[in-house]
Amino acid sequence: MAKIPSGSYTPLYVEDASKRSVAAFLIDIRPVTNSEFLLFVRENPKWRRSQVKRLFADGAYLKHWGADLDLGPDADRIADSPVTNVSWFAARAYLKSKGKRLPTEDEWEYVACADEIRPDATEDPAFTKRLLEWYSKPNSRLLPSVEDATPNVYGVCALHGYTWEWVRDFNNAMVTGESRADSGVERGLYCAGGALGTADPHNYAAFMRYAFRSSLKGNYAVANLGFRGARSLPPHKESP
Amino acid sequence: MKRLLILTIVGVSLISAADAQEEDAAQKLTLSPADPAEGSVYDLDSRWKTQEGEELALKDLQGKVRIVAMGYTSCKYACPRIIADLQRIERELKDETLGTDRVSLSFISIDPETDTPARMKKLEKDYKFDPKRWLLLTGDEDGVLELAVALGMKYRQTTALDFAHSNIITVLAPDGRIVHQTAEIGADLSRTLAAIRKAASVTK
Repeated sequence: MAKIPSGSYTPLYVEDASKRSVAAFLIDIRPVTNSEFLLFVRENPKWRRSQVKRLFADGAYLKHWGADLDLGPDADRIADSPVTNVSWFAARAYLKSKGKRLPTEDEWEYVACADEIRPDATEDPAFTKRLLEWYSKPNSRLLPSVEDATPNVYGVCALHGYTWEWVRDFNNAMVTGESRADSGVERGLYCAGGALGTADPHNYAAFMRYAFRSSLKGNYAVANLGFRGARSLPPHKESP
Repeated sequence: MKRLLILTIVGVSLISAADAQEEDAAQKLTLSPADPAEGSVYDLDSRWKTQEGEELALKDLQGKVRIVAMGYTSCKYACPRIIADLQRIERELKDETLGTDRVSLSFISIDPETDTPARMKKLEKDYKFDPKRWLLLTGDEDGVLELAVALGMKYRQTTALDFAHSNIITVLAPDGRIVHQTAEIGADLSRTLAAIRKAASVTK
């Protein structure tokens, strides 16, 4: 895991238009792979494709595999690729078994601001252009191995360009197609107007991530959605 | 409100664009929150405390039809309206043979830090909930998150005191399956009542 120092970032949605601070934390340097997840389901039968409860993983769960304990015909090629088609509940169960947890949205977005040389590359049009190019490209049928990914300045790989990733609090966006469903929206606490009113492509990339998350439910398994682990650090570790 | 619609639509189209070969992925996003998923909420292994301070696991809730909403006691906006709806349901059912042994109403806190069992007890008194019929639960942050996600509930702490959250009333069958959900506060509850009656009659 890589240690990410404390800091702050400007999220897409802010209640009071300020930065959000993020405490130092640890995060996996790469997403969990198919072969790693296979070991987990081998040891935890209730998370196998045929046995999982639909409330916790829908019918698309691990559907790119051949069978419960078989990665399928492309096994060699996908073994080291990020595992996808995993639900939020399954990702949590996997990480819990490793003594880890999902990163929060703040943690994920904060570390994802970095490129290869800077902790915050979001003001650089070249960085955001790269993200948007990836977002607009259809998935390749087989995801590449994470072994080949280039680390960002923290040593963390494949945050962009491989899959989308689950965050712990993906369900925090008060956005639905129906205004009546979420009256929190009507209090004006959540407003996408800022993002829509700006031409800043950084915001647009973030906007797409937030929109994607807001469309998820905890049992959804999606072909381009994976995850990685995080861990909290004991507080007040920073020296005076 | 239009911009919120746009955001949701972008979310859906992102999945379909990134996943052109797998049309069903986009398809399932059109499901409404009322679609019952197989599996039981009681499979979650979180621990909770009642308004009496008694500890319990979700699976201890098996055996009754439960009408459940999540919110927080210091909520001044939506929660009193959700509670009003729960009380409307209670009034409708009171004249029927649905005794306290078969149907229970629950308000579950999303603010475990503030909502101690004592706070929940105060809520019971403030609203004059019949403790034989009302179970008020408070848990821990992780248990709240998991249950909320299982119920398709969105929430976010917005200030030290406040949360924004969806307003969902869920009907759980005695085995913990979600058999009905409504996200409309103050609306016609006839479908919810029908779902409760149906779930309760199956358990007879």
